[in-house]
Amino acid sequence: MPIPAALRLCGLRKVYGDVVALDGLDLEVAAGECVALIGHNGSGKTTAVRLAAGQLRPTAGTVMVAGITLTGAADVPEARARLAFVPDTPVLYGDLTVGEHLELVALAHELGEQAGQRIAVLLEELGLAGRGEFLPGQLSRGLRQKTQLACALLRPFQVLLLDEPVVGLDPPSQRALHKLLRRAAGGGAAVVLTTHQLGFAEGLADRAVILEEGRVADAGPFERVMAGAQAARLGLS
Amino acid sequence: MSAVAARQALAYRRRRRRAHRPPGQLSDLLALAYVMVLYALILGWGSFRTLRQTTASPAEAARLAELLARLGPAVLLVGLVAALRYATWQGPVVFGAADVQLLLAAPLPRAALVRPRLAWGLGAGATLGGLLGLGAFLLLWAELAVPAGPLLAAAVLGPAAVGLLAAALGWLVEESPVRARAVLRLSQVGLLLAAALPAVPAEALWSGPWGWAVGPTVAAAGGWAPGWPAQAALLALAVAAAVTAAWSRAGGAPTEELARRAALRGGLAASAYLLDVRAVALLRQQATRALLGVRRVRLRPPRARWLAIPWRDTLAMLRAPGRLGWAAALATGAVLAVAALPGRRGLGIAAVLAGFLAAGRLVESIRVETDQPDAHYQLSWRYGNLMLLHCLQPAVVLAAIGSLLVVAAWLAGLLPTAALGLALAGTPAAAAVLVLAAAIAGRRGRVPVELLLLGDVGGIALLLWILTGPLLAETLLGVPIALLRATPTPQTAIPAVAVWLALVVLAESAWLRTRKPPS
Repeated sequence: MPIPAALRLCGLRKVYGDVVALDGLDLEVAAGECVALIGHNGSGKTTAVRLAAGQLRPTAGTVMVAGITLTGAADVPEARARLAFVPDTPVLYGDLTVGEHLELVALAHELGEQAGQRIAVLLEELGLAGRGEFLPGQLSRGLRQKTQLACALLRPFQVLLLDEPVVGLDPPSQRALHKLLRRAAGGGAAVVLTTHQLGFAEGLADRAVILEEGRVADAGPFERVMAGAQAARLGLS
Repeated sequence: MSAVAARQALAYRRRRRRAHRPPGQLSDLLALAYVMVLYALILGWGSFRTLRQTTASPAEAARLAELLARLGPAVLLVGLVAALRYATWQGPVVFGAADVQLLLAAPLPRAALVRPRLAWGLGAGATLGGLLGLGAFLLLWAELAVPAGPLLAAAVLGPAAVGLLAAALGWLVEESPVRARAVLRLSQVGLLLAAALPAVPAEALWSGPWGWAVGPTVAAAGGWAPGWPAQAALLALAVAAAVTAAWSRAGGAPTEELARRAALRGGLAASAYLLDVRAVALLRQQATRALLGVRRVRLRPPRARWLAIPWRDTLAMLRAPGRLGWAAALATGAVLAVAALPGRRGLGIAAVLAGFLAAGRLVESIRVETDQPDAHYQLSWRYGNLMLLHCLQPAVVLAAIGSLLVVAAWLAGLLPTAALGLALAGTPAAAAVLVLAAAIAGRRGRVPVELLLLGDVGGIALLLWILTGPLLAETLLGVPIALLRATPTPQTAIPAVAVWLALVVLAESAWLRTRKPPS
């Protein structure tokens, strides 16, 4: 029996009024693979990852996470259990500290006894050590982004979706995140990220998908796609 | 993953929120609630005592019960429609943005996360309805010599049940974008029905839950409502069915819908704190557009430069035809009321207010210009001239609506032929005065924060700020109305009225023309 792809998007389409944000995206991401979605502003990257995360309902098409269909039914805890998503803007509770955010995530995902140690390690790796007692209002944008990343990385997942994860991060933090994402992919997770910072995706993404006006303009191995004619035409190389 | 984990996560969230609550916040809230309750009691008791001094005569009591049968169902239906429309962009269950990212994205049963909030929403709906009913009870009990017990039970339980129904149906709207779209498209039908109900009080009591809720109160108030036990039973059944459906579908809302409401909620809370009604209106508009999209209407651009702004305003109006519909509805009310009962002074004031509100619906482009004053630097007009140009199209549209209504009133026999010419001549002038008054009020933009910092007089200053436009319209049109009423033959007052209206239009235009963009 074939192993299902960690993430499978079939004919994914999203229409807002008469604006087609995404037009028939097909994408399969295997376990341990990292895919970068690249394109201009408004090309459909964010819509694609939000659809994959179940944050948006597709107008047509399906999203499958580890063989479980996410679309259609509103409540699919089995799929959500396998899927972590980091939106482009940090969204945190104004009245919970950094540490409490992570404790809440641990509770919501029933991480049990192992959570405390994992939280300490993650805070250290993301440069948040010593900030555990800070409220989001006391943090810079970059630190809030790191808190959000920590929340996503703390929980178990088979698919990790990140929308512009490096916005607001300083170079050392970008390197730390690079390392964490490589480790996640090395551990068997499928990683999909959108980014305008091609340097960040280089050396991390196995494949690249260039989106243009909601459609796939080119897709394939990262180096080949970025050196290709479509990337050059769109000024992405 | 279990409902237990959801409960634990929610309990942790509550505990930590309490722990980080700024000291004194709870006592401040309780003090505010205490003051509000105290004011309500003092005002309520004072009004009650005043009304109680003169109990209604049997004829007056019968009229009061009939008035209840006429207005009660309409009021409850309007409330129900408002609640359902509110559910298209907020609703009885609204999560925060962080809840959506951290809790709803977790593998917790969604129903377990929604139900505590839904219970609050249902409770809030029932409480609001009950409070409305309590107010009606006090009013009726003060006037009528009827036993308090049955009247209190009927007056409070009926509206409370409708409130509960509204909250339950609100959740069903919230969890389905298809239903939300249907509510947005069909709610005008509900409002039209509400407007028609007072004309048929006997049928109104059977027209739906809004009528079933009023029947028992009419009976308890001594009015004629023979089927009230059946109405009460029907209402109970409808509420039970709606609440059961809402509760069982607690896990059904798509994340997209909850996230959309969560994103709006942050802006709504900040705007409500600053009493920024404009920002609230923009958020609601944004939510409606997300559901219904924007009409892609095209209109050939004009050749003449001065027509560019009226062209842009016409395009905006065609893309949001609801504004035109509201303006027409308000203007219809104004013209028909004055034509049918020209001698009533109160109706005249109400008609001017309705006309001002109709003009307000049409000057949206001025408000848009004020929202982003720097945008006018892209255009070649001075800001004041731009404001004036934005008044052209609304004035023409309002004058056209008014003229059509005047002719309709004449055809219906409400307006004598002798008055037709005068009415048709006066309509464009009145439309211009109203549109310019609405523009003067609309161009001020949002409520200045300084007003809120004025302490004790802040409330009065805020009220005056809000009422500036209506007061201006009432004053400027009140003078010619008084002149026409003061003379035995209206024709003799025409020269004075014409001069007054011309001067007013000139003065309003000059005022607008000298305005600078808001800083």
